[in-house]
Amino acid sequence: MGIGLRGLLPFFFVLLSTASLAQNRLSADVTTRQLNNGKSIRVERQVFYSTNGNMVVHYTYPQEYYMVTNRLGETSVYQPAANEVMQVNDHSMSTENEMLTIFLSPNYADLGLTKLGFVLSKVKKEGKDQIRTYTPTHSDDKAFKKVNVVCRDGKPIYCAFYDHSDHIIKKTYYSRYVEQSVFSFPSLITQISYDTKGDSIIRREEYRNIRTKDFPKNALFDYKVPANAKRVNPYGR
Amino acid sequence: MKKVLFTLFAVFAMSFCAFADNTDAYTVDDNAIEQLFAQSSEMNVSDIANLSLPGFGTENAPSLSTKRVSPWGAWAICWVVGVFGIHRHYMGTSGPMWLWYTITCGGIFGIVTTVDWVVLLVGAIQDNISAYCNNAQFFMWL
Repeated sequence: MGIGLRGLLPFFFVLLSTASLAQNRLSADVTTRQLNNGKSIRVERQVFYSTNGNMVVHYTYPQEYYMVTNRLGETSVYQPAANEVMQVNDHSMSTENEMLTIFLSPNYADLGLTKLGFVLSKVKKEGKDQIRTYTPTHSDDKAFKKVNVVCRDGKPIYCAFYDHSDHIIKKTYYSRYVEQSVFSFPSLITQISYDTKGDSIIRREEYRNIRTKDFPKNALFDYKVPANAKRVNPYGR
Repeated sequence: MKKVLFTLFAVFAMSFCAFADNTDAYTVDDNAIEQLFAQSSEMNVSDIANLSLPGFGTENAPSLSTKRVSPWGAWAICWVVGVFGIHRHYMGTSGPMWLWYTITCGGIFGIVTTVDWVVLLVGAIQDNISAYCNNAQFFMWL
């Protein structure tokens, strides 16, 4: 009986964590910048994420629009300037694929690769780091040969996608982890992609003002697209 | 003697720095990255959205003949502005597909753009990207 209770302890901890998260919402200000050939692009947005999978994103720069989506991929994008809304129902738009969802889940160390169809094929230790190798299971595996994820203290700090010639085509660094009571989140994500000439595209995503309580009054967790918004076809057909 | 000591110290310091860098190959030099951004000129996304690419951002845009789409051109566009999905419009996808790429940060944090880039490169080498032309799916390779 004692052994049974001890065996159940991890389950209780997971249950407790889930219960704590269920009571929380999360908001953050996010800046994404991309650099290529000396030119950069910047996108600013506020993210309002609820642990039931609903998410509202308010894009503030360079164009204002709102995106409302959920776990099922039911997505609305509202452009206030035109009072137009586009709606799409596609699982690829699901918040399951969101970085926030990935890092709020207990299995965040795989960076959502398992859900994308990769399998863990090798694990090795390198000093204080653990290197996990994932391989694709898709029949159409032209894109990647493998993905290496490096974890330090149980948190992913680096991820590299390899092509079939064993060249890195994309690597991502996860840093400046923000420690909350029930989750850790990298507030700085730097991604470097390479082309065949060796040139690179750098994308940097920075999360600021990460909050799980004391939200401002104008928080948009329950934002609804205006009922009088004109619907437009997202595929133009 | 001082010079010898200084040289020895410098060599030791450089070796130590090189060793330190080597052991931390999985972290990025934030200052170097920030310096690159600081030296860049910032573009406005609306400028990119106004690029006169066929079928871009227009509703009911006519589908393109796949013969008119250059595989290498599609690959090059994917490489430069793939994060906004503009290569998809070049290949005949109508409607604001660029918006879906933008709001998902290049298609689920760039993964979709990367896969697009690789499959277009393979298609360009084989001179055949017809499977991806006029494709309304978010994941064009599925």
